Amino acid sequence: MPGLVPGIQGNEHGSLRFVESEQRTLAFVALDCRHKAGNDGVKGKAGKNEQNRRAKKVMTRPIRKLPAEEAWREAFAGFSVPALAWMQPRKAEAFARFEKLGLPTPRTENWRWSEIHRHLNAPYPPLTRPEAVDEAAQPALMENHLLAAADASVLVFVNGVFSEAHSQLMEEEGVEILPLSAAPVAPDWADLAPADDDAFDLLNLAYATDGALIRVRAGVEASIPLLVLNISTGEGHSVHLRHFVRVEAGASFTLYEAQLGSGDHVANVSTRAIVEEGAALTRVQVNQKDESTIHFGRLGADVHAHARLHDTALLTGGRYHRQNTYVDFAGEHAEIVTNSAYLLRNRQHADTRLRVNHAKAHCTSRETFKCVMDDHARGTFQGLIHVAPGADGTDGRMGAHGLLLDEAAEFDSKPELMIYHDDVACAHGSTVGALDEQQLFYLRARGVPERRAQAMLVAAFVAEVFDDIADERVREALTAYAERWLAGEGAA
Amino acid sequence: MADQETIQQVEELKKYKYGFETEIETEKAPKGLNEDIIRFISARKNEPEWMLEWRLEAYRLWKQMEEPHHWANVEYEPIDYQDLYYYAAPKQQKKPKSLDEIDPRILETYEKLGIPLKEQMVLAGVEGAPKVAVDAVFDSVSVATTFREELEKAGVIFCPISEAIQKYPDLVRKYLGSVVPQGDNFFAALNSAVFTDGSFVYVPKGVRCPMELSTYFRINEKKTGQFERTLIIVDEGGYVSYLEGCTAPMRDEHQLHAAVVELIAEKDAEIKYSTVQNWYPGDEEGRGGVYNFVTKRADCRGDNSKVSWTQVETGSAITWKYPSCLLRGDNSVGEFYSIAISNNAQQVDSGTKMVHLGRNTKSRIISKGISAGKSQNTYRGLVSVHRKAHGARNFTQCDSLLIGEKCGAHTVPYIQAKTPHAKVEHEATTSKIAEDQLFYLRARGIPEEEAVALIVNGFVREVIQKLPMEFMAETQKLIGISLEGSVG
Repeated sequence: MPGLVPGIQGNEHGSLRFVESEQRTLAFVALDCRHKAGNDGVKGKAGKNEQNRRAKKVMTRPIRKLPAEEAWREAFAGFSVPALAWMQPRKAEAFARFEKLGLPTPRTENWRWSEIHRHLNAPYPPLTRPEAVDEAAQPALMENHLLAAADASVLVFVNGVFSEAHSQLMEEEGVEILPLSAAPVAPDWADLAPADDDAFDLLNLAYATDGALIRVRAGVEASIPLLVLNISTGEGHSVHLRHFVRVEAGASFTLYEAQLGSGDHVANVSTRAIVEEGAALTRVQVNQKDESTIHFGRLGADVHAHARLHDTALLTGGRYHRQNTYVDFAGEHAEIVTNSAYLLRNRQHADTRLRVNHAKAHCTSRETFKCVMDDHARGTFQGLIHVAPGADGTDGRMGAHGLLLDEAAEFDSKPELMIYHDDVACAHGSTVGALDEQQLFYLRARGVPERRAQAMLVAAFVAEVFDDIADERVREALTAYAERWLAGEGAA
Repeated sequence: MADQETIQQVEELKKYKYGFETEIETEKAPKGLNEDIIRFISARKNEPEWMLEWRLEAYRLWKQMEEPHHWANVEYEPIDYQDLYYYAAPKQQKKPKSLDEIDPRILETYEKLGIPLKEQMVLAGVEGAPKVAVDAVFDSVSVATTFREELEKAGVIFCPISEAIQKYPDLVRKYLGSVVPQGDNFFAALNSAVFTDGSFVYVPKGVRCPMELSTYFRINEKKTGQFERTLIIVDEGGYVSYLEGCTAPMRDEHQLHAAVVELIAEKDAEIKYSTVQNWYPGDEEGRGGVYNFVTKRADCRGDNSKVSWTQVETGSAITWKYPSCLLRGDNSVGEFYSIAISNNAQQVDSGTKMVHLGRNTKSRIISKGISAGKSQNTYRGLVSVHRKAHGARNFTQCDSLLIGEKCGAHTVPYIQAKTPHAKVEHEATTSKIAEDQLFYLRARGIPEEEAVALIVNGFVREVIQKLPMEFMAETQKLIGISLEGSVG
């Protein structure tokens, strides 16, 4: 017997658990594709048959299993990470679940704009041993990225393995940082469970080779941020890293994550964060990979009472970046900010699925997405604010804005509100368009060259996303990048 | 003055006042659906061979299709399509020549509903008001169409579609299914196979239809599905305003209504389509009520054409309906104004699709959703701008109002832009009924229920103003009725 409300299981008022099926499919937008070819009405028999053929085709198109999926299904039998032997039962469990679930299809609603059938059309078996790191290239890679300006401890993972030589950890009282592979047993404070309905998170756990474990003790306001460099290189394989961060009651912490590397491969990085009562976590993520890599990123966060999560992302690298951000409020009066900027060119594609679950009363959420697409780039966004029954005083605002710079660029957005309670103030806005002609004219009339004027307007468009970053050097590095980006200087 | 009127209206509130049933003899086809039933319907309607073929093709497509349970935000017990009557008609010996020959009980029904079938009674009491031509559909057949002669003089064809199939086969053949093909979706396929009646409108080149056209739909029989098909064609430079109203008796079981509406606007043509949908919504526990699964789509084929949808959705247990516009002609315009009110156990999943294909096409969407009781109200919309739609412009505003803590309001907009030469704007808000406004009215001695109706009427004003004058007053009353029992 299905529940009254789809997406909700259980019936007890106030204790509803939000279960979103990643596999939910949708036919609502089907009309759009059917009319693309134009339809000039029934003209004789040919027209009629043409229509029927199209209608039938929509119904019966079979879904093919992707080479990537096949490789991931087969690889587990011979896969083991000696350092993570204690994780093996969990890995097996996650893999069994993945075997049942399979990858999303083009008809899976949450992946409708992801084109993974194009991107994952080759096998990317998991990597177990680190490949030889090109010593000459690595220092440049590690120093010339946007988060290099941060004054932070550094944890480096190269092709899925912790690199002690490149890492640099500064000691701080009350802050524990160690690689997953260095933990002799499962730490009881770390929750490594995967999201049951996310195929890539299940794969991530099954094939994880390492990751960062971070614990900030109650009441400690950490002064040294941590910079995690997820570097992956090479062709035709996949790398899986699993990070965990717990910020205990009243503590605060800053985490920077840089996705770096090059080559036609898949990187799958999942970060799980628990922000306890009154704690604060700031996270800044930058993807600066070259335009041949595929990246799957996930942030799963529980934000407890009076806690604060501030998440910022700049997606400007990679061939394809899929970001899954799932935030659950686990206590009242908590607050989250999730901001993202896309700066995409050529054939790049960035794709975000964001879900903020207002399960508790008096929580505030702000989501701002500023997406700039040039050339043939595609930016897509599916955001959802979900308000559970009983979540009094919910305040949620979501904005998704696209800026298209060229003829073939594309922006698709679906900012969704699902509200099961009345005492709320929720809003969303979404716009898409080109640069404002008047603003361009204004700048041109004052002698600013056209390309420069465009670059200024692009930087102004995304500036809002970085505004709240507390570390001035990081904020300035990101803002400066946005200004340079259009001129092409920004390319890594 | 307006306040006095509203207060009076609120006092007049009755539960569902259209819930009565008319006892007349009807002729029914046997229960269930198979090719023989379709042949029977087709034979009953004296249809030509091509029409039967068209229906059978639709039926064959339908059999391969799955019912779309998954994506809309509605839940219902599976419908047994073999447990329904697909044809029910008031029994009569031959075709009525004038209104006098129609069963007086049917006329009475329409009078009770406030639909004046007798021409001289049109809008009694409103002197000088424009005349409205009415086509009344009772269960499966059209019982009367008024003002036909006057319309014919202007060159406008307004008749039941069953008649049009015989009298104007070329027109029907050319346009039927050209906007919503038989295999478009599950319910459209079902409708294409078994539709029994509906309205047909053809406005020739350069003609401005001299009066509002209106169809009134009524489901009377038990266990009957109503499948009407409306086809409106406005040729170059023409204009028509069309109204549609619906009611059904109160019954414990669910009734199925699966309509298809196709609008075609040629060059410089304009169509204004207004709906007040007040099917029986079921009782407080969600027993009974109409399942309203409707496919409505307009094709702005010609340059500078315009289609405007206005809908007021207060009835039905479940509404599943997305009046859409395909903006193919350059400079064509699509508009969608909607008020969707849900109370008790009602479920609404409604919205629109605006597909921009031509240059400088414009669309505007204003949607106001009000949910009360334990109802679920979803706006689901698509704005799609194709690569060649340079200069396309869209503005969307979706506001939701929540009354009570057990209801839900959801907004699911899809925005797809494939060209930088377009501008798409979407904004949505959701909030509960403002405490301070409620307090202000209560402090002035206005009972809570009336105060809510007043506030809601203010909330939806923008859309109500788009309705033809005849529907405005009715709509304001309807809002009061629909929200009855939602507070306290």
